[in-house]
Amino acid sequence: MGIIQKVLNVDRRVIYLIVFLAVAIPIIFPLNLPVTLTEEVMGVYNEIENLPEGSPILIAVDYEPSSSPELNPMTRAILKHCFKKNLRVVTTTIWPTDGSGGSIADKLVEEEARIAGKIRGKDFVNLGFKTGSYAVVIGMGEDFKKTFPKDFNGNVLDKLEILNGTHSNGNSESSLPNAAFSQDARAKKINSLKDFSYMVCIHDDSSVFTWITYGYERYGIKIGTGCTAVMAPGNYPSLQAKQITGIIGGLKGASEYEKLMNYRGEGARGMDSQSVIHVFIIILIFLGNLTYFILERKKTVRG
Amino acid sequence: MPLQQLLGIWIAAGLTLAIYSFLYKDNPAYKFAEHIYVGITAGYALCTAWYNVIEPNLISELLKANWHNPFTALIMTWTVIAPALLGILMFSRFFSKASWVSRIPIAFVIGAGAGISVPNTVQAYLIKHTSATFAPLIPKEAIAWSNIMDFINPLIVVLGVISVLIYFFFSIEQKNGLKTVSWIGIIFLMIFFGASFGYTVMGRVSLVIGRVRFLITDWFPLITNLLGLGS
Amino acid sequence: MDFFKRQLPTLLVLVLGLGMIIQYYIPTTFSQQVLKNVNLWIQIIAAFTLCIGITSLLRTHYTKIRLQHSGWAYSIILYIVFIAMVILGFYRGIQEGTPFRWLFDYVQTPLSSTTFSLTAFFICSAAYRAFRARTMEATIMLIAAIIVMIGRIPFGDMLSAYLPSFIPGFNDMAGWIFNTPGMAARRAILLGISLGGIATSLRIILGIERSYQGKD
Repeated sequence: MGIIQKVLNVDRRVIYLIVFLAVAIPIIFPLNLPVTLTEEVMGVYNEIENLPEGSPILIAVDYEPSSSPELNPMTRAILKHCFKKNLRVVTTTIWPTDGSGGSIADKLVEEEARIAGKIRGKDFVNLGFKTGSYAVVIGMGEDFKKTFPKDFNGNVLDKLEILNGTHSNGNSESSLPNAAFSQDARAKKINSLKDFSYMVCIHDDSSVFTWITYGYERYGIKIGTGCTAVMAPGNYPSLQAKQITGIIGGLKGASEYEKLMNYRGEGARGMDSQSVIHVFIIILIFLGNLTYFILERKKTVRG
Repeated sequence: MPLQQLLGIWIAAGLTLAIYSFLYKDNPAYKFAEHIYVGITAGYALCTAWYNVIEPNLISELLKANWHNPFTALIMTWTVIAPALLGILMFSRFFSKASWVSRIPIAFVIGAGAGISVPNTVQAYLIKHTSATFAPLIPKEAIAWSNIMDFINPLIVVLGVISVLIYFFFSIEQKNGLKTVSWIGIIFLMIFFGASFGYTVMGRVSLVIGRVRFLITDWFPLITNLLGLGS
Repeated sequence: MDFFKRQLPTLLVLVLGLGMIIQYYIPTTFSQQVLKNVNLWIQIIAAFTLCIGITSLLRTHYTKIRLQHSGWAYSIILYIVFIAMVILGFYRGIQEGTPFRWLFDYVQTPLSSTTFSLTAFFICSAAYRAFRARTMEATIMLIAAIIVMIGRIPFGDMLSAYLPSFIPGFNDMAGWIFNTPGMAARRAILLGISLGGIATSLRIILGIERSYQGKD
């Protein structure tokens, strides 16, 4: 067997080992590579940035634990943004069918709220999971509290301050420098999807289409999306049709949002490994093609 | 570090390595972890279904009614009792002679689902996306020569949508001009698949990054501490 | 009996299907109320459907244990973990700080994300062995993939600085691919799916498509 044939037939485990090292080394020795912003991510950031304080925002954590490493960084960044803007944060999940998004949302919103000094039931609430996919979205549009009589922790929703529009400025009395103060936004009661000023659907499957078809088209809620990189290309038609305002795609999108929020989190740090591994894969593809064509050429010459 | 967190990190690291051992070859450690995963996910789903749906939307509603007066209570709660009964009928699937009974709740869900989806899909996708494809062809304001791509891009989109749809249209034989348009459709699809592949790589790699980061930043310090190498 | 087995489900689908379509175009107070209730019913039935799925899984593994098929011992592990999770969930609840949540955080989450991350290794290996520029179509796909992979990482921006000024940067090229040709192809797929979905829904409502009823 010639050297080219050997290169072509290299043991797959050698490739696996290099992949592992290509990911691990930049984590041990960070490269701190710069992050550039894209219009798609700005589309979500600007919408949240322009909301008046106290506006209700819905965040659908529609992903499984399998996608947590990719999507948690952006969920955290969005939550940080919402709390910084003193928005009323409501989280929910309609996907996956085992409802694991409910626990993910609960953990993340609790942790970020603790950092921001926000109170459960007053500044934020996690509604948890409901079965029925589109039926839940329609249910939220028609009769919010009938669909979610209780939150994830079993508290009766009707009694929560956050939904009844009596939300105050939390513990930070000073308003943000350029935030548009609006008493109306805080006084707004949440009885339907229509009452939310904005929503971000963070998904690893097609739940965004359910939110668009029923949430946006039927009840007019403005939607921004955050999704796994695998799902991102599928959201561009909806972006161009103005059914969504922006796309935060994968770890790259998360790194951009972190940059906008002026911190370097798991998204930005992950981009170092991402860069190395992408270059490695391109080299692999190039090498694979090169060896293949050399062998093909040899065959033709012999033939 | 609290004991439960310490224990948690060791267990999570052990299970992570057990799954990764599959990369070498299939082995009992991988199978062990795999079955834990399936079992725990099923257990999680059952508890969530109870706490998030059955308890708040069904049991609580039933308990709210005054059952001292059963007739009134039934009238008050029939909207939750009826779907619960339909739901229970689904279990007839496990009994071959009575499995046909499950068709009734299935018919309810499928019928309502189909009826709800038709007009909404027409509105959200057929109308909206067809209009979004052609509307940019007529720009609202004059396009400067420097932004010539603002004029070309909508044309590319129209060409792409039409050619791919023609490629999907198998009802007539594709020859001559139609074959050429269909080939253009293939090119558009290849560009999309290529871009999707690039993003799929990105997505899957981020999962590895998350797990390797956990092993390096959360678990390795515990090992070094255990071996007395920690600072 | 045949009426209950065949005609009743078909009739139910027809009435509900047409009713929901009419409801969309003629919204009245009554029809809104019907929609609300139908939705609530679907949510509750769906919760039972989830339980059906779990029961089915447990039955499969029970059979495996009973007949001692290969790997039956793993099925016992599955049962033990399932029962432990359910007992902890019902005994202490599912909130933050409960043993249930501890199992979710330290067992379910790492297992789930690690299992799915395996595909990254397989993709890399497959890219090396199978991603060949054999035809023009494959070459176009390959070029698009490489532009996106370079364009969406910081390294791509650094590399773009060395390109002549009349060539757009890799990030811009990747953006153009997603927003223009990629978007067009995806939209056509979306339109195809929508048309297919509508046609199937109408076939179901009109009783032409009855595969959901299974066999007798």
